[in-house]
Amino acid sequence: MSCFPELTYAFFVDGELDASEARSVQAHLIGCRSCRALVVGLQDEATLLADVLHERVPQSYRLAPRAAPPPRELAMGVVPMLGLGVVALAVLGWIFESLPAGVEWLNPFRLQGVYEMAFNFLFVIRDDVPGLLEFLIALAGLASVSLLLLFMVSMLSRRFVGTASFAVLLLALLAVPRSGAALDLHFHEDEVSVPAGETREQTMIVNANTVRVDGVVDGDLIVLLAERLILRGEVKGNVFSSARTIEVSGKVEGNLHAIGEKVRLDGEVGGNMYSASEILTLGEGAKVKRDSTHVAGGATIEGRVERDLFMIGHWLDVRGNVARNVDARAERVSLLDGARVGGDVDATFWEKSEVEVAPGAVVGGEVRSGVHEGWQEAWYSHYADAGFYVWLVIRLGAAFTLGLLLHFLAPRLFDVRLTSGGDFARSIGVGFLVLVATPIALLLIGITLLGIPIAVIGLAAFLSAVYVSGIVIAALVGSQITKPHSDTLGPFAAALLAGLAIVIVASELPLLGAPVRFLVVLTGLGLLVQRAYFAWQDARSVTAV
Amino acid sequence: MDGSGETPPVQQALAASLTGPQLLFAEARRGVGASGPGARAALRTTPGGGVSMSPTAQEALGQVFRDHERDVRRLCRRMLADDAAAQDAASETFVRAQQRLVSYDETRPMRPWLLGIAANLCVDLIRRRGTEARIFDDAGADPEALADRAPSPLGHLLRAEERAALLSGIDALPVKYRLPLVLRHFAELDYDAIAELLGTSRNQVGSLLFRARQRLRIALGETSA
Repeated sequence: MSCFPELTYAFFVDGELDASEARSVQAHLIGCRSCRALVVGLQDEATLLADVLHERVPQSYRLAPRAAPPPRELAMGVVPMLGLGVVALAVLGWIFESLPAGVEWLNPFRLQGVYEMAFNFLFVIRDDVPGLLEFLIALAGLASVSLLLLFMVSMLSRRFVGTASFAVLLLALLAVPRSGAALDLHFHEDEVSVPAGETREQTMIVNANTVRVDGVVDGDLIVLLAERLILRGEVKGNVFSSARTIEVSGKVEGNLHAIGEKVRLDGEVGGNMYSASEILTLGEGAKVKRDSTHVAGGATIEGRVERDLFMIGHWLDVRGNVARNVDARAERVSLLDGARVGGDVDATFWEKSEVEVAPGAVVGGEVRSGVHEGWQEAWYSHYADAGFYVWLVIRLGAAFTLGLLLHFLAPRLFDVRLTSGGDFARSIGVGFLVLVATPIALLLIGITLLGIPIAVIGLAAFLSAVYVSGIVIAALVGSQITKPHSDTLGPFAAALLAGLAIVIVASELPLLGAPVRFLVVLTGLGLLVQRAYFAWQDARSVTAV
Repeated sequence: MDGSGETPPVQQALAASLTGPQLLFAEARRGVGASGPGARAALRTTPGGGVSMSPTAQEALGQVFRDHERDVRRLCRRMLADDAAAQDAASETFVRAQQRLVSYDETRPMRPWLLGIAANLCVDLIRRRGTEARIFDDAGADPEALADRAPSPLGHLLRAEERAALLSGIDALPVKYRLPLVLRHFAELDYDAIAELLGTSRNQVGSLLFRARQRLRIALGETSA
């Protein structure tokens, strides 16, 4: 007999067929596996609809009396993904550590080509997607590039983690524009220029192909993704610029931040200079009144830095004048004729090498050459330090206390689940979005006159969320292990403590620590945001009922 | 209007394993302090159609109602897909229930009776909304919408967000699909009862239910993809 239409089975499942019809359906079902499956599916669907309409909370959604999800399911999904990710990162790290010099360019942590690729990519986006959307995407891209840079910098040198500043500073400085400054916005124009003799009494935010400043900008100058920035005039505030080519021959009274393929300074910077580029040149007339920090493929310093010079990249040529110390991590560092360094020259090489000092170069202090000791050694050295363990315990205690407090105040915060690899991947995705989008949103809030206070509060909330995300993940991990039988304080505390211990120790592991921490933050943020979203939805539907 | 002779004696109702609040309710109907089997001393229909009760009975009734209040509100909410209207409809349901208490057959469970009143009320409300004077326009009978290659039934949606999506999907269904679905799966009425409530045929109810599910499958398939 041929199969019945699905409608008949729907009647059948609802018990609405008359006796003879029902019998013939039953007879068919005995012999037809696919129809049996369909009927079971329809029954499940009916149960689901009843459950959802009655708003019965599925068991697995609750934290404490966890009937489901089975740990095996979790093991099938999350653990292998986590393991794979960590192993892949470790292998990558090892490969690039031990790569022969000839194929070094493969190393994504190196700089060659990165900027060109990034800029080409961003320009393609900009030119092919018209409208405001395009601007936002470009901005997100820019933030990602900054993040990438930050990540690279912190990977390369722990000392430079301190200068995680590049992003934080960007945020902080943007959040505090010069008092009373209004905004002068130019988006998606071909050329924007401030002619000589003119003064713009506002902070300028510009997205154009070419930006020329021959006059005066009496505020900050923010250039988003231009082909070319030519600054011959004067900027009284800070300059934040991302352009393929950046040429500054005028004067910047604040700090100069430059991300580009080629960055050239011939003028004067009143504050610090930060740059990330493939080729950096400080020409003969260049003057940086404070520190000068660069991530660059190659850097030529012919001008004057009145404090320290930091540089990470492939090569550094100094012909000019550095009033204090030079600190470089590179493959080649040369002090050429005419170079004057007031303090020490510290160079760390990827492979054993020496600083080349020309006969005409003068160094006030010492010249030291070292070899990059690699992440492992750097990590191992601090394991011998007792203070490190005290610090671990303090961190554990702080997180534990806050976790208990949060559990007391907002127990539903911990009502999160990772039941499958899909959940995990999605949380990571959401987490990444939040991690990138929140600073951008805060930045936009900060620079519009809408609200510096809002931006500051938002930043605080964001940082808190990043911290809390670790605690939530720890509670999740802990509850997988201790399997608390109830949601009361005792079992929760045990789970939290176990989880925190695991997460904190894991995030301090050599080599794996950083990726683990990054993953924890991403996943935690993702879960928190989803949790908040559904709590909001629940709240809506609860008030509705 | 003492109808003590027509309905089963209260003792039978008590024997029908009523528990807790329902026992109380039976007590209330019997009239606490009143005497005699089957007496309805405590319960009299007033000329205005209302019911006068002893305070004890009133309180017992209130408690029974409160046990079902959430379900009644949910039903109204799901049928009307409108918070404010649902609130009013739920309150109105209990007013009507009290007025019609005499017609309640106490050998039957309370929930379907109350939900029946609520459903009637909501259907009336929807009809009165004017634009939908007829819940079922002629397009309601279109058989071609019953596609052969429908998406397969929704499986176990465990995650809260999926369930939330399903719930809002139900709210978003056109009223002619939503009502049968809610009446079937929340109020647990059979096709005949639903057909009577909505003024249509039981076959029509069956195909509306079927199409409602298909729409939900498509809607959820799209959101989750």
